[in-house]
Amino acid sequence: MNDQPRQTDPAIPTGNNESTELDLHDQVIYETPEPFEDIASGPRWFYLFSVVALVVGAFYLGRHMGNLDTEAHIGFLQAQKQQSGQGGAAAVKTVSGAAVFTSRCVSCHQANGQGIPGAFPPLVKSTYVLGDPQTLVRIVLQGLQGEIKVEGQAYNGLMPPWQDQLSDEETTAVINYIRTELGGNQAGQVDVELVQKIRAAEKDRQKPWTVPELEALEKS
Amino acid sequence: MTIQQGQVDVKQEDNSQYLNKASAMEMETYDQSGRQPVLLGFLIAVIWLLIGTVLGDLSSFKFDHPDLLSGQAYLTFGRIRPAHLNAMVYGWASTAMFSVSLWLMPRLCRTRLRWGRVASCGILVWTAGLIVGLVLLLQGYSDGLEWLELDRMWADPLLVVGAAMVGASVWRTLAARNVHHLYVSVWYVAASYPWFLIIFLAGNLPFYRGVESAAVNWFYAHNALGLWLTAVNLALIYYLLPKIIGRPIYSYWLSLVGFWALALFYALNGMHHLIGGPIPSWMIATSITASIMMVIPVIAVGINQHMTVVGRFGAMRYSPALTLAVIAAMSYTAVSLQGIMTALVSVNRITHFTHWTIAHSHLGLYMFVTLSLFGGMYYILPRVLKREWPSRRLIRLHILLTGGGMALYIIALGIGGVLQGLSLLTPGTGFEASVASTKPWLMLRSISAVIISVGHLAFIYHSYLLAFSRKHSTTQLPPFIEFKPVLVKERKS
Repeated sequence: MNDQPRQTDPAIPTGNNESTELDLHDQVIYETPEPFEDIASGPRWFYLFSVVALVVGAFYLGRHMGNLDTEAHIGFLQAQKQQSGQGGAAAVKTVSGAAVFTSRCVSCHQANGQGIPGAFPPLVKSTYVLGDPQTLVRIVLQGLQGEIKVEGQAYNGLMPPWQDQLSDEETTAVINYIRTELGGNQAGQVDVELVQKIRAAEKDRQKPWTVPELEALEKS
Repeated sequence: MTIQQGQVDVKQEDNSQYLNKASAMEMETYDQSGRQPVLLGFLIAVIWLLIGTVLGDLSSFKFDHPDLLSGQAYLTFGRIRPAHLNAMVYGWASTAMFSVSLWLMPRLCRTRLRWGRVASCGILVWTAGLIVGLVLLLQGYSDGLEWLELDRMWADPLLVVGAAMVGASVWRTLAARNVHHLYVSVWYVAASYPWFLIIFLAGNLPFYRGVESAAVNWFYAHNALGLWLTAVNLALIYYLLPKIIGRPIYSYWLSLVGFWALALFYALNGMHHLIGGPIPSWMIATSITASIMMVIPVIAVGINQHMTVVGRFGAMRYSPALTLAVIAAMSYTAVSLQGIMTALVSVNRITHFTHWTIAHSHLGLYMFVTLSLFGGMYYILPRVLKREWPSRRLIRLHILLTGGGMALYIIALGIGGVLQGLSLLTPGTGFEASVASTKPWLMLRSISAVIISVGHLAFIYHSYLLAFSRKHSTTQLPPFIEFKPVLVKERKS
């Protein structure tokens, strides 16, 4: 690719080399010849490049197409699925408690964890969050209903159970996020084993917890 | 000025190696045979350009001042913004493309335009349909699908009939051709009309539900760009570049690859707008693959057009039509490569649902489609009206304002979109943070919108002077010298 004129360029007529008034007035110059195509085949690298592109495309399609069914998943989702199937220890690190919190908890307890006064209790400085970890695990897994007093204010609502939506790893991650990071909370970490234990022990429970029930369990 | 046949023959001997000798007289006959529909289409297109500009500016200002003009329901963002899109795509671009097709076909088929009255009526029917659709849209009656907002009961049938009538004229002219070999522009123009009718009808059928509806929606919206807007504008650029420079298209075979690969791969691209959505994975994967494959036609067309112009870029100084056609051709390559990149899952995670998409679509619909149409109008109107554009300054002003303004628009909104996308992906920060991160860039976008609007006003005023003002009717010289500009020496004075 250079600025040299190609062989097919018309010869430059001598004496016509200036934009004289006469030339401009000549209407013929106004209408240059109609365009046509050279029969050149174009650069060889382009055809090689096309073959490479087709091969890459075929590999991509084979790798990501999946089955011809209605299942909706693609590339990166599939990769994540395989990873989480490989074992708990690796997965705990990849699950982000903050992400779970953002997608599941923020709509009621708010991004800063302060809740909405009168409607949703705060998580920051709450004794239910910072106290016995078993209580918090129970609330997250099976939910909570009835009266509860947090930071001197009474609430009477319903928190839905999350045991069907969140895996053990996600539950552990979100609890640790709430206890150790959210709004300056500083309490101990929770192990995935504790979540697994409580989930197994309470798997037949159908109703959300109430505060008296939880307090009774804490004392025992 | 009258043209004498003898003079013509003498002058053309210099170009004897050209296969397609064209006498100015012959070309003038073809141009005048389509005078009525071509001028009608351009007139309506320019009016839509003005309306679409106002609607676009309003939509943009509403981002900076959300309460601006929110008192009336028909002035709210949810109606103004789709009205802007429809006025620009179906009003400005499509109507101007009718004129471009009706001007190109007689010249390339070496015969006069057939069924010109049918084409004129078609343009009027199309415009009527669009007016009905836009009024209903502003009233709040919309089909609720992007690019398909126009009412499917009252507006869409008129659009179909209108486009079919223009298409009939194009195909009748093709059938009456006096050439053996069809130039590449003819392929694109002739194919685009049946393509458009097929995709528009398919997109508007009333029985899709849920996910199907979303899939058909994006099948249509992407192909409206690829098989309609792109096709006719590539045809125009393929005509203007060699015509103005006076040199053949670089390679027939690359044209062939470019055309057929576009037809094959573009039609499969639409689903990449739904990455991450509840669409079967094979549909998404197929469309991403087809999007990657678009690199073949894009590079083919890019090489072909670059190698046609290379060495003569200096000619752009002498021809506004060539300047705009070259910028448009480069933008086509740029927007397509950007589109391929955006279709990749890893990039799409960030850019989906952000202003990046708006920047991308303006690179396509403005820098490519609209600038190419401006270039076409600069070349076509003097030949049809037999009068020259009166002002060199207005042309420069127009190109600088629209090109520069849109470059600012695309860069600002592209950056804003990426920041917005990254902010949306950061857990723990609220949604407001992503909105706040776009604010300065949206302000820049509004500024560029004003710049572009001034450019449009200059162009519209200039078109008015050209078409209606008696004062300049004696101008015969092109304001830029369009004949083999490399031959022109620098002025010594």
